[in-house]
Amino acid sequence: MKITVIPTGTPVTHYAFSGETITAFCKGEQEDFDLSSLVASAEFQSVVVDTLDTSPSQIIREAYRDDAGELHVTLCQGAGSGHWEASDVIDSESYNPDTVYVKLNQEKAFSGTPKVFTRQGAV
Amino acid sequence: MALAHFQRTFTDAAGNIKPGLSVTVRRESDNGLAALFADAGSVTPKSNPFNTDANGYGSFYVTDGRYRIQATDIDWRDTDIFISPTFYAQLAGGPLANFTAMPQVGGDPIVESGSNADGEWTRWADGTQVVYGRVQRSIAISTSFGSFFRNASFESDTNLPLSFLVADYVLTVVRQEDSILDPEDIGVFQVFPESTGAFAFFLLSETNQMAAIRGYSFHAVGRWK
Repeated sequence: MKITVIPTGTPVTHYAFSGETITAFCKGEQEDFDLSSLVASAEFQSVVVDTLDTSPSQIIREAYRDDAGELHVTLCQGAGSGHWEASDVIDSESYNPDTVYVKLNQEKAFSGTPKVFTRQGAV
Repeated sequence: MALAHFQRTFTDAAGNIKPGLSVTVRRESDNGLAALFADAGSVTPKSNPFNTDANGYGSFYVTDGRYRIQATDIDWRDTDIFISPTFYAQLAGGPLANFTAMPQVGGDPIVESGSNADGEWTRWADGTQVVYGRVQRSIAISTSFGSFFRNASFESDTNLPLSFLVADYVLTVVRQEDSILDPEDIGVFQVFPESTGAFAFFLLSETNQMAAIRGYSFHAVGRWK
C-alpha cells in the first residue's frame, strides 16, 4: 500500500496497517477500515465511521487502486503553526507513527512556533 | 524639532459647529500663551488666539506638553480641555506617531498562523480566528427545487483548516469563477457549520447539472478561545 500524508487541522493521531486494513487512532479509541474491497474502477467517496470522534475525511481523505492492483491512500497528520504541505509517497510498511511526514514550507511567513502532531503529541 | 498636532471641529454643547470661534491655547504650567505653529516643522507661526474656519475646524501644532484650550463662546467659557499633544500626534499620524506603542489586548495581535491541506488560518490574541480556502467537489445539481435544481442533499464534511471553539462561526462559500463548466449558472445558496471543523452547503442552478468537478472558496470567522 502506498501512502501520502497531508496536513490537516483535526485528524486522527496515528495509524497502523495490516494488509489493506488501516487502523486509525483518535482520542484513546481506534477503528479498523478495510479497503480491500476497493476495486480499480471504483471511485472512493469516504470511509464509514462508527467509533472515532472525527469526520471521515480526517481519517482517510482519498483512496484508489491502480491498474497494477496496488492500493494508494491519502492519510492525515495534524499540523499547527506554519505552512505545511503533503509528504512524499511512502510505503505502508515503512510508516512510523512517531515520524513527521508533512513538510514545512519555510518560504512563507507565519506566526507562532511550527508544530506537527504525531503519536507522541505535538513536536 | 517636530511638533505634536491638535485638530478638531469645535461645537457647542448642543453639537452645533462654531465657525469663527476664537480659541486660546495656554500652557497648563504657568497659564501663559502657547507658541503655536501651522506646520509640524515650526516654520510658520500661528496666532494665539486663532479663529476656527467656516466649518468650525481648528488646528495647530505645538511642542509636547499639557495645555488648556479656551474658547470665547458662552458654551465654551467654562470648559477647559486638557490634552497631551503626544497622544493626539499618535492618533493623527505624522512625524511623532508611534504605532508600535499602540495598546494591545492580551499580547501580540496574532498568536499563530499557518496553512495545511484544507486552507489557511490565523488566530488573534483576542480569540478571533479567520480561516479560508478552496475545495473541489463533484456534485450533481439535479433535484427539482421550485423552478430550479439543487443537489439532492447538502454537501457535507468539507473540512476547515482548523476547528473553531464552537460551531457558531460565520461562513461564506462562493463558486470559483475559473471553472469552464457553466460558470454563471450555478450558485451556492445555503451554507452552515456542520461541526466545529467542517461545514456543508447547498448548490442551486437554473438547469439540471450533472456531477462534475467544480471549485468553491470558503471564508469563516469565529473564535478559537
